[in-house]
Amino acid sequence: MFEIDTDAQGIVRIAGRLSSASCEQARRFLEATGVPRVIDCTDLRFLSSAGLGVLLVVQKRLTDSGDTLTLRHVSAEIREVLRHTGLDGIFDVEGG
Amino acid sequence: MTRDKELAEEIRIAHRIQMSTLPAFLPDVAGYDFFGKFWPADETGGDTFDLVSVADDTVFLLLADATGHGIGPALSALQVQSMLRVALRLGASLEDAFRHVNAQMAEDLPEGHFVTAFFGLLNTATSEVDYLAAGQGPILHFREHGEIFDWFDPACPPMGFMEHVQPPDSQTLKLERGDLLALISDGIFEYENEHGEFFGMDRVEEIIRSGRGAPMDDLAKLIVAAAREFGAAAVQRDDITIVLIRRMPAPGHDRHTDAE
Repeated sequence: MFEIDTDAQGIVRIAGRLSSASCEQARRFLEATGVPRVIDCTDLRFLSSAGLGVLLVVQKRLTDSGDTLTLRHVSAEIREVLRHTGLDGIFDVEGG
Repeated sequence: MTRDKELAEEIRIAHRIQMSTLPAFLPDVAGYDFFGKFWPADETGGDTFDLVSVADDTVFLLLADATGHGIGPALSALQVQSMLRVALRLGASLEDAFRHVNAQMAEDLPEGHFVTAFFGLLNTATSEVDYLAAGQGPILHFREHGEIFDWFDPACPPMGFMEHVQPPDSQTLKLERGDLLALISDGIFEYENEHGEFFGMDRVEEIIRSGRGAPMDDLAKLIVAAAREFGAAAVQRDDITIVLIRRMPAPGHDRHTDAE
């Protein structure tokens, strides 16, 4: 299960499993809505390497303007994935 | 031959080619037990490994994982393996090898793709491993003295998603007698059962704690068998690669043979 939408404040929210099966859905949504500076990860349960790729594309766009993608309300499990892939220093990670 | 059959045959050929790039023989070095194997989730996969002598007393170690699985990631993994092996044979430093391979992969990979890699050189005379972990973790250095599981994470992001990445200095660990260096791809740690639970690091620790006295070939098979049993009816979703390097204990000191 995967969901991506924006909340009432316009913050992008991702929930469920961001994996190779849901990457295309995430990419299409972000292309249509523009590059977010913050993504709410409260309900993100699983993040595969393909899912990380989606986040890295966002980060690359933001790097061009000197910004960093903030991942908000990141669970301990997802934070562990970021650590195990050496990407915890690439994003601005805020705990859940 | 119909187009479907042609495609199936091409995939089988790609599988054979990928398997042929993996070491046919592992280094035979007195005082060490080496193991390396790749179990793709599909006919081809995005993992690769290497265990090969590149100079006197020097063994090249590699575990790499390209985003996704299938033919495309298989080619990316092969590209990284080949470039690193050649770079290190030519005497490049680990940092220079990373910089050049990273830049090339950033040029070649589709946006959002990357390759994680733990690569290093084991000096079999001093038992030291100089290494660089680029997005590949967790890595386990099991220390026999004290039975300590020293898990560590990469100090560097993966290769290929950004052209200019300054790697940290390479690091060194020393394998004492009985120690084990385990490079295990996320296909094991993230092996999922029908309840959405993951196999995880703790289960790997249990198996290594009880089975480390066995030949590394048997220990690796125990890890994979345990993951598959844990997953039960679940299909293997991701590639699995395991590389184990054990410095043998002094003769007569290996009492941990629970797995035998």
